Amino acid sequence: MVPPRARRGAPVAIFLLFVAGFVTACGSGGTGEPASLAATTTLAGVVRAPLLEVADVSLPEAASGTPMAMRADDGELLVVYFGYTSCPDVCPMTMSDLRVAIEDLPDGLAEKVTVAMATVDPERDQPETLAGYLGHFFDRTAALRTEDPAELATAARAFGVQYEVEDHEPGDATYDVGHSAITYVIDDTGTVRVEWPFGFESEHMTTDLTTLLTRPEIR
Amino acid sequence: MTPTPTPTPTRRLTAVAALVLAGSLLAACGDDDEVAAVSGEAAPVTEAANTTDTTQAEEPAGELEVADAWARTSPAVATAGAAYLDITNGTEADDVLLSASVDAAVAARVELHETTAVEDDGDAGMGEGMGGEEGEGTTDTSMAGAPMMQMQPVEDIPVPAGETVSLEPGGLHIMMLDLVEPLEVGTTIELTLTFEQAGDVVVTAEVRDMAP
Repeated sequence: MVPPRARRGAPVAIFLLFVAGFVTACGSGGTGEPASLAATTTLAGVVRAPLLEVADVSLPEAASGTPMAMRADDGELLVVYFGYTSCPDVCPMTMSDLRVAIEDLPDGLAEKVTVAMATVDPERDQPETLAGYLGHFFDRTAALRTEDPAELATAARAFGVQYEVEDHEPGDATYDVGHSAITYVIDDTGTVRVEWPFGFESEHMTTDLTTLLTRPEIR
Repeated sequence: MTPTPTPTPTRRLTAVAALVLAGSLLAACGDDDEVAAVSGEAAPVTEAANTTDTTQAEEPAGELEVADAWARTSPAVATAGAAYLDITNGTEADDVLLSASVDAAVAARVELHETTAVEDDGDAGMGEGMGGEEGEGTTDTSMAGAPMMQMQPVEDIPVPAGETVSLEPGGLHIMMLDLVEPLEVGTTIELTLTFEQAGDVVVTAEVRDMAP
């Protein structure tokens, strides 16, 4: 699409295309708020003001129990979702959209994205269950799980995540779980750079991840 | 698809029905007066078309149709699965999806469900363990909690005359509970949908890991 001699100008052109795309996409959607955010930040998702800092938040890695801070490795991104694996409707949709988004990243970028899922249902989500679930969708994953309700609540609260496990008898495995189905994208400083609401389209996830990985100076 | 030089009476009626349908669709975009006028004139013709047209399988008018059925299960804990589809009520009578079922070899129970976003009512707080070590008083009230996606059974799913109701992820769906075996991507399952007016409608749902 871009002639070779114009290579130097290509990033700017692509950047402008992104902005145009976002404004169009959101404008037709009818939700005014994300559109204005997108126009000023170049990101398609929701950007909080001020940005949310979660570097001090941690949850245990499911298998080892080692605390993992909510911070990506240098130059990478950590995508965090609070959910549960028995979730038949909401979670698989977000996970499969996210998988497509990561698969569609330009060469070399997928290796810089880790997807972490913190279970809000540690009773049913044993460590191997959670790890297997994530491994079904992604190559680079972190399964986060604690059996301490206060520890989970503290971490969830830091993001503004709500969850509610239906009362059930011991041994009953059919209870429902309600949860905020937001996807958080965290950089290597522990800052949540963008949030994707439920139903966010995978192509917009791809552009947000690409923007954050290739233009980290955007704040 | 056989070319016929002279249309048979049935085909002609089909064409009339199609025109009537097209007319009412166009009118739907206009104002209310036009809609009333068109449907008033069209009613007898549509009736005639319907009575002679029952063998025309490709003619959607006058039928309740279910399309694009697919199902998905969670890849790890396959105790429950969800099925999605579009129901188009091409008849002139409101209908209601009363229930759905699958073979007992697939799942023990099937329910109609709806996922809705529940806004923070300021009561539930964030997280179950709210009253834990830090105590509720420390909650940051400046930051509203994100809405919770909450799934609950619904009694039935109304399908008004002339409308399409979509069962899709994050909204209305058919929940299969106590799956006998995990649903395998690439296989199909048969769903029987029971409607108040249309009776039982059997559809084949493709098991997929993402929406078609």
